[in-house]
Amino acid sequence: MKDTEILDLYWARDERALTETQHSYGKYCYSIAYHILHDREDSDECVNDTWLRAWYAIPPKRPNKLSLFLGTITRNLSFDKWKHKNALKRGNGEMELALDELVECVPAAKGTEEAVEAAELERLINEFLHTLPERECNVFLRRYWYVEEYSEIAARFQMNLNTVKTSLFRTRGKLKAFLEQEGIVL
Amino acid sequence: MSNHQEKHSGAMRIFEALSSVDEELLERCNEKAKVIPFWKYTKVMAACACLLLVCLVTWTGTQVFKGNNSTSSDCAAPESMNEMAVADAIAADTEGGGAEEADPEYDMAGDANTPAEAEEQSELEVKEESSKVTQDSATDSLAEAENQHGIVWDSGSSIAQLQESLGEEELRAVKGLGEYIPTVIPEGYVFESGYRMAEGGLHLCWSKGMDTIMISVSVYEANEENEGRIVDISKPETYDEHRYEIPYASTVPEEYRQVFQNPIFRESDFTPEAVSARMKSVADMGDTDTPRGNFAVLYDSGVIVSFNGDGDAEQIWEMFESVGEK
Repeated sequence: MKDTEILDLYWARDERALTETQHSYGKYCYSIAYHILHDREDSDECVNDTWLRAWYAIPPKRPNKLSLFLGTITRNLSFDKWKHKNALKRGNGEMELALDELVECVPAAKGTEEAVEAAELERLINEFLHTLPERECNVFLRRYWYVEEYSEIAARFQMNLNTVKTSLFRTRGKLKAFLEQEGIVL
Repeated sequence: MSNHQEKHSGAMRIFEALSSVDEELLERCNEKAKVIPFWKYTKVMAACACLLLVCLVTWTGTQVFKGNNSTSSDCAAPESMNEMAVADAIAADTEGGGAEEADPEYDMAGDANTPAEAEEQSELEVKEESSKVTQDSATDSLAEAENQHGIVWDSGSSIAQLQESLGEEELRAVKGLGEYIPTVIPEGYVFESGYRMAEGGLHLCWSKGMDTIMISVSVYEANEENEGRIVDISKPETYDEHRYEIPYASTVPEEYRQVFQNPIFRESDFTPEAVSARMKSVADMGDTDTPRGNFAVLYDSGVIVSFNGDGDAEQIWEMFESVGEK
């Protein structure tokens, strides 16, 4: 079923919208959740919560791209769950590794400036991503949006594993320099 | 809050901020790479060379017709790769400088008053010049292909490290590695180019029409990546291309991919069945139906011979059987 038809079901408050969404985007959303949580049960839970969130959000929303809309909800829910589970302990999963890598992007604090607002940070990161070459941007998002392993990214883009690592290393450096240049404090 | 905790918190903010990334960027990163296999890239180059040749012949014919003082042999189609290279160089030169500014020595219309010796000399100069041009452009194209498609040879060398262009016999004479160049090449393949890399590895290419065979010979580096590519011969599911459908990124289990993409067979494990498992015919539009594949063989001496190209499994096995023969 096409996205527009699924959205019409949501707008008509027809519960078939949920089964069609599960049918079309179940695997996609599960994959996003599992990359973050590495737990089947938790991932299933996040995916089901995603359908519920979507049910309440549409209408009034009418997303341009349903997959990305649902994927973003799943990612946020999964990250929240991950934070809750890892509040007291450090895990060993891919998520922890990805965050450790992102630490390299955090600009050094220089004074007592106020931390940047979330909306401003989102705007700047978008601006930064638009300055990157396409391949570099794609690799960065596969790693830090989808939390994919290096080998998965290498396979997806037919790249050498070391090229992926190098690309990410350079992008992290660029992001840090960009945020510092903008005077951002996190 | 400790410095590490602060940084970790900052990382989480960046991770959260990424949730609002533009849809177009996210959508774009969902696309899989459209990979053009290296052997296809060379075919594109060959097609361009043919196009240039046609332009040259057309242009030459026009000049002959205009000048009305040349023989028919002046515009005969080149028969060898060298002649094609000369033709390409002349065409490139003509395109760059324009017909009117072209060096008189390159004037294909000929001059009835020019002595034959001088013509031969100028032809030789043109060949030398064109040989350089062809090599330079080939190197650039290879580098571009490497950048775009992440091509990496077994030695870990990049195209930028290509150092010395050598002939087949010169490469065979390189001590320690030259003897690992197969002496039996499948019928119809003609030596096209060869290089000795800066770090000592050898790279050779033969072609037969649209099909190519590329061999690289180098000393094996026992690093983590290479070690991860060594095949466990008892697990054909990790290297047998016939078990999976294209696109492999979707069908080959993730844990096999490192081996599957660039397998290295130990000399003791290398068999005709192994070659057969790696050579597969793919119905691609515009390509020949010759089976194609890639793999490497690690000899007990520590030398690794990599193959990438086209040919029947039997032919490729025979080719590898001839490694070490004089």
